[in-house]
Amino acid sequence: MRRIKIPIVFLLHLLFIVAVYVLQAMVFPYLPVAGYVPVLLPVAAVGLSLFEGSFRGGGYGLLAGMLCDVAFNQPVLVMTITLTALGIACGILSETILARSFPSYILCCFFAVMLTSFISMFSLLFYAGTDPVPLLKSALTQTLCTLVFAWPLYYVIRLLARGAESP
Amino acid sequence: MKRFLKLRTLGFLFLAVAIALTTIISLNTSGSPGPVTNLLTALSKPLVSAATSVVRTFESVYGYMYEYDKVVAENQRLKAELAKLQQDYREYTEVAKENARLRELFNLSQRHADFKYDTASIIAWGASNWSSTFTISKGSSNSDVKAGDPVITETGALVGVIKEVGPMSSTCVTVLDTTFSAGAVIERNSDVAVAAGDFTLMRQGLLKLDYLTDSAQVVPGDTVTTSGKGGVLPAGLVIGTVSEIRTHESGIRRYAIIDPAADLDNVVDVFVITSFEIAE
Repeated sequence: MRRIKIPIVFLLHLLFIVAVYVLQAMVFPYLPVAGYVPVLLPVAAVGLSLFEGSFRGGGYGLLAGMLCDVAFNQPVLVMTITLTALGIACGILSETILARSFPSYILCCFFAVMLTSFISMFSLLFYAGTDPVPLLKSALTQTLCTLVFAWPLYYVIRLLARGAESP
Repeated sequence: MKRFLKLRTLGFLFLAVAIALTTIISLNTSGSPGPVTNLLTALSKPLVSAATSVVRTFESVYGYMYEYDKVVAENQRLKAELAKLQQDYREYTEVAKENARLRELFNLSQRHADFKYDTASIIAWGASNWSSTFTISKGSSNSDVKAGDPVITETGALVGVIKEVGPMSSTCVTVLDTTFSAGAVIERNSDVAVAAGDFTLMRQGLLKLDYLTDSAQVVPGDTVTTSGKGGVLPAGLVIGTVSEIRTHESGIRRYAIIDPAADLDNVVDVFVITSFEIAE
């Protein structure tokens, strides 16, 4: 019975990531929040890895990262590596020092979105010589817009985690 | 027995007289129904009315049962016809729009006979807040599109440049993107400069006209087109209109703000220039 349960939860997690991708890549570009597209895939990867551990978190991070690169219209590389690493790191933290709770989740989400913002602005900051103030302002606004949606996503992730834990 | 025969004879006689009278009366009333007919008609009228009413009721019920299927079938047929007409109308509207676009493109083709075009649709906009990109429906397997090809609207307004070409789709950077840069010329006086994307301006839907010479005369309202220098982009594509002149923080150089000619929020169909003559 348990052998059947695990793949269903796994499929639900995959479905969740795909749904988040659809929201990020196909809905929010046309309905931006305060002019910004919320970056939800890092949030999904971080949230899942927080509840599922480092191994699965890395896997979900890999998928979320690939989809994030596709959504950003860039080669599948930068976000794939970043979100995989984030998934593993958050999974290890949840297995060791972080509680699987909302404050930990929001903290991880904030860190993840700021990190993805920093990676996105890296070339603008260091190669194009863009003024760092508007870049930082954009990073913070993007993070805030994303965290607004991280709150409802938390309940979906927790519901999926409880479904996986129930016998 | 004798009495019975007598009564019977009298009865036949009465009948004969009645028939004879009826015949005489009927024959003498030519052109009108006659009193007998009228009498019989009057007597039979309620019965006929009742019978007719019953028959009509039956006819109505039968007709309803029989016609219902016909009405339903007709309703379905009319609905199908309506749907087809609505579909035709939608197609007509689309064709009319496409026709208008192609007419504009035809005008552009007359001005630039060296251009070879390929039509494409925008299938997705990039979800990144740090760049301005979109994906079009043409790739290496279904078009001659290649990296660096300019993407324009039907009016010749520059939308962007192809960045990457996939088998079935291609990624383009818009004129607002920070990686976009092109030689530009002010149409009014042929002063040259460089049109380039800027991160802060990109968030506002604008781009920059930089590297203006000290003697360059630029005023708000000036139209900026591609210069064609370098052979990367063809000359004469409209980048936008100058909306403001600013001075760099250093206070030495001036730059202009360009409002792009292409309506990037609403553009759906674009044209990729796959071939053009390089202006020297």
